[in-house]
Amino acid sequence: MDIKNLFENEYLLLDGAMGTMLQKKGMPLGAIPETLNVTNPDWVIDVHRQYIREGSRVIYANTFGANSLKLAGSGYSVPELVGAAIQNARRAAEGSGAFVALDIGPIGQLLEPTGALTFEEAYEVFSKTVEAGRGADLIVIETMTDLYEAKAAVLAAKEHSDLPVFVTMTFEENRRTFTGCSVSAMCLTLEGLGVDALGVNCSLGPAELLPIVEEIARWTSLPIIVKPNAGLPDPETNAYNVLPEEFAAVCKKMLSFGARILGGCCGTNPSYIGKLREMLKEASEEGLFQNAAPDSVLSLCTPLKTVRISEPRVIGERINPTGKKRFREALAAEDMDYILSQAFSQIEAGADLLDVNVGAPGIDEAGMMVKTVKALQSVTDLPLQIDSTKPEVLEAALRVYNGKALVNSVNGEEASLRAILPLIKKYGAAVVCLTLDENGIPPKAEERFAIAEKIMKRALSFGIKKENILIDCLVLTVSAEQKAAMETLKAVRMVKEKLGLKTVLGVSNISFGLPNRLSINTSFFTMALYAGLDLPIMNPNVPSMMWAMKAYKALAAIDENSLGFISWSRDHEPDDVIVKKLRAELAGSVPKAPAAVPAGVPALDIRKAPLHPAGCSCPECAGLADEKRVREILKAMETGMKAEGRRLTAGYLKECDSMSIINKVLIPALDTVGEKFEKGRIFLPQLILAADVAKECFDEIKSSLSAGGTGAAKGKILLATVKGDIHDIGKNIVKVILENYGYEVLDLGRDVPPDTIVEATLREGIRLVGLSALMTTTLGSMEETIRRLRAAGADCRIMVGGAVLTPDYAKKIGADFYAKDAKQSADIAKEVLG
Amino acid sequence: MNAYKVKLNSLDGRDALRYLGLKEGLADPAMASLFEKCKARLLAVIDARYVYRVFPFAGGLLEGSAYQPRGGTIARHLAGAERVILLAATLGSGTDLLIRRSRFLGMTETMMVDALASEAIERVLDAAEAGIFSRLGPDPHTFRYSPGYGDLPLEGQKELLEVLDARKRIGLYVNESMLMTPSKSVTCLIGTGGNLRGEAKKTCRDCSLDGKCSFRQNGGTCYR
Ligand code: B12
Ligand code: SF4
Ligand SMILES: [Zn+2]
Ligand SMILES: [Zn+2]
Repeated sequence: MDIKNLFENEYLLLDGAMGTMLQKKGMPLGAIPETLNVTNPDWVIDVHRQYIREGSRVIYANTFGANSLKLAGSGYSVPELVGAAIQNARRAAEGSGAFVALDIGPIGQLLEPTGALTFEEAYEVFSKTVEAGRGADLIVIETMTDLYEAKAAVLAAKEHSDLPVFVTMTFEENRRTFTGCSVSAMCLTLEGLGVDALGVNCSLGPAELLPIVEEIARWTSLPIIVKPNAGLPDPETNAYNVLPEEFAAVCKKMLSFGARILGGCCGTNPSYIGKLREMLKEASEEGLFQNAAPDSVLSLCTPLKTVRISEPRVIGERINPTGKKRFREALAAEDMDYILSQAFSQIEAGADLLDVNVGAPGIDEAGMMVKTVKALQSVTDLPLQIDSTKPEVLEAALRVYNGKALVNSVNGEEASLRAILPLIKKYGAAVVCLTLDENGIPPKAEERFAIAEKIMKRALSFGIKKENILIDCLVLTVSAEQKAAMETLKAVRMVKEKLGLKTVLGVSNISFGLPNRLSINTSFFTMALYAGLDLPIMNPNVPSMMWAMKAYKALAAIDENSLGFISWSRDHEPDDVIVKKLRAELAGSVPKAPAAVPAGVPALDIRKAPLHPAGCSCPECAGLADEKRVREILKAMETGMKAEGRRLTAGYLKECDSMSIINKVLIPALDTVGEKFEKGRIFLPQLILAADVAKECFDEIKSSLSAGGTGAAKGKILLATVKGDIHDIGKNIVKVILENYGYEVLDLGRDVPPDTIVEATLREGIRLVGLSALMTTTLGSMEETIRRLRAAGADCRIMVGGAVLTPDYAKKIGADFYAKDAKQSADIAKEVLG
Repeated sequence: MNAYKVKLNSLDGRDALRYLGLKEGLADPAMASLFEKCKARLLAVIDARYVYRVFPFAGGLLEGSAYQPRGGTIARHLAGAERVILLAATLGSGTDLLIRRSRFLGMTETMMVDALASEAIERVLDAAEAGIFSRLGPDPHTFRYSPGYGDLPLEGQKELLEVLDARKRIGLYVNESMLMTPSKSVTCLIGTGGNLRGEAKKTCRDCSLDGKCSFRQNGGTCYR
């Protein structure tokens, strides 16, 4: 009998806990339970048999922790233990018709971005277990708290076997897993990946799981699995507090939400399974069997955030190198910070989703896409739209994306449909379909509609759900083809009304070649929203566009009682005020606040200024102009005005070249700040603030420079907290101080392995390396790092610091300098780099 | 052995300022308001939990535990205790995410959030300690002694966390170099009952830095 038929129309009973049963049999403290498959097979078989006797139709082989990382050093291999476990389960099941599941638990190490294990490594680990367990009838992935890890396991299971896959994750009472994954994200992501059933196990008793199961039912149409603990353990006795009758009674309440596959986790034993069997028999007779009826509105997600497209949402378009020199340079230099800063400004501006496009000449697009997606999901929680024309780039991104993504795009060309639709299906994404084909973009709305309909049918035939199909009716520039705008809008309306699909448009293209583009853009945007646009791809940093969106939602009664509009108004300046300010600034007539002269800088004496014509460039005048600039920048630094720093720098760039701004303005200003800090006239927080402003100024200069490094700062210094140590507050202070003295700092972070430090030192030609350690246990890795640096022949000096170090010890481990505090690091840097 | 949550409603920021080397506090009103903003942001993402287990203690051994503390300083600390509590606490992974994210708001924010989080984990431990003794009864007990302090080896950390089943109960992981993730996490031992001889309040006596650290040199300590 095929197991899939088994839960199609009836309940399926799983087993109960294995670990607790083995402990009762005398498994020694601290033993690896999976080794018992070999050392005590009789125990394992007996536990399986007890569950089968009570009615389990599926037994989980004793393979929960059988992965290559956990077994390392145990003396056993994965194939050995998994093979034995499946054999034991088979023997126990003989003659009973019970099915055997390969049980896969978490690896036991944290995945990136929080942990060190990469997604690809996790996939490899799971693949080995799956390969060893192909003799099972199905694969169960359970007790997952990290959606990323669950995804790696599902991909491994599907790509290394044809077995059905069940997945259960472990939630806390706040309906989140420890890593923050929500119920909706689990359902959207795992159902998309094509698992056969999903649900929850462990951590809570049935009563606490009840609301979680209810929520799962709202997000998936798959059969729901529930394997609760026997209540909660007592802190003193460690005994669980829910008895079998009550356990079964509460589980019964879950059936109406669509729970169909049941069993027990920690603290349960065969009598819990027996009670479940009785309860399920009763329920079948009472006709409680229920299919879930989930949400059918498109939602996209990351583990932390689910964005439901129940109303228009903004896709931020700024992570895209097209027409942006600074962005292309950042890509070439793999400057992730720049790319992430583009993400943050859009998030602050109110984007709901972020488009990611990293295609540029000379870039390994797939590699860069993976890097960018991983970097983005390490700091933001907005769902992403993966944007590329290349199937291999899309696939690379979809693999490592954690959640449910939107893909841009497929079009009506046969080659495109064939290459891209299978990827959408396999990875469970949603897809934007462009209404063009082999013959280009048809002029008429009806023709575009026809292409949309054709793509929709093809997508459906691939098994892609209707809600995951979105249509882009394509915006053409109205200056080139005036009638095109209305055709596009007509097509949007037709797609919306006749096909019932969500729509996407890149709205900024409309105004190319016309004056006052903003007014064309905002008007067209409003018209498009009215025609049925759901997802505009636009620049959220343009206030008028965001205002248009908010206004539309208020007018269309989407924003109930205009509350959203009102709260937006509280935090954002209205259009006309912004425009007025911009105009005034351009005209140079912004009423300037009288510049308070910061202490320590001689005031500019107007009487001493030579009587030369305005704009004169003689040394005397230039010197005076620089002095004035230093004062302005200093003020911005000391008051922490980042935007002001940027604005000032942009102004200077119009007047003189970037190197002289760096050498004659920024560095002297930073020196002044440093001096004041030394003399105790300003304190650390101001120093940090100043560094933040300086960073903005340098960024502004970078973005104006053409390709080719800047060589801006005085020299590059590498900083790291050594392997094994997380204490990084001190190292971070050192970083701030050094940056304030005008040095460029390459900060490798904390817990940095010696190899990484050596590699970076050689690659970047670093001449000064700073290492930090705060624990006696990590002095060893500091010593090791120094030894490796010397052995590799790195031409650098090494300074060390941290609470446990002494000058003597620093000398003993071969460091060139010991720094008692952060201030000394600047003196050392001066000595080494000048 | 059960997992408990701790809800922190406020932080006074005193420890954080000390970690940042600011004995005088924040005079600048703009800085002070930024500090408050960081506090609010941090408090909103902290998802603090702790897990503990109480073991009978006799002859220097925890009965029924795969983890045993080694070394002279911990022996002295637990001397005379009848029971020993193993405790692990964490602020959760949301705090690490916030710290990673702060980098894009500015260095000031990052350092403030980081230092505040270090303070927060200490307050969570205070709350855990109070919770434990409200359940056990208000017995006298020693201060919290962490692996890595005195000569109690950090290497025991892995076993200690396994005994507490900390990964499953509170989502706390440890790697081969004994680093815990989420990073704002702490493990410790507390002795209680019997003829306790260990101090109830933290001292510098067993610290490998005894007196040589920057805190002491500035006339303070690294603890409250
Ligand atoms: C804050 C803190 C934490 C925070 C960490 C926050 C962070 N992101 O850094 C938290 C609470 C999370 C923590 C946890 C732990 N901690 Co802790 N922690 C501290 C504490 C109290 C203060 C450190 C600090 O930030 N000081 C302030 C900074 C500004 O000073 P600094 O680092 O010394 O840096 C200055 C100088 O040294 C110098 N400098 C430093 N590095 C460098 C580098 C260069 C190149 C230069 C030039 C200069 C320089 O310049 C800096 C500025 O002036 C210290 C106590 C102490 N005396 O240091 C214990 C301490 C370091 N921790 C300790 C331990 C054992 C731990 C734990 C292992 C405990 C446990 N078992 O759970 C855990 C590990 C956590 C994990 N995830 O694995 C021990 C280490 C003992 C030892 N002998 O090795 C200490 C010493 C406490 C003690 N007395 O026992 N800890
Ligand atoms: S104040 Fe200094 S000496 Fe005392 S425990 Fe803390 S680090 Fe050690
Ligand atoms: Zn369990
Ligand atoms: Zn002149």
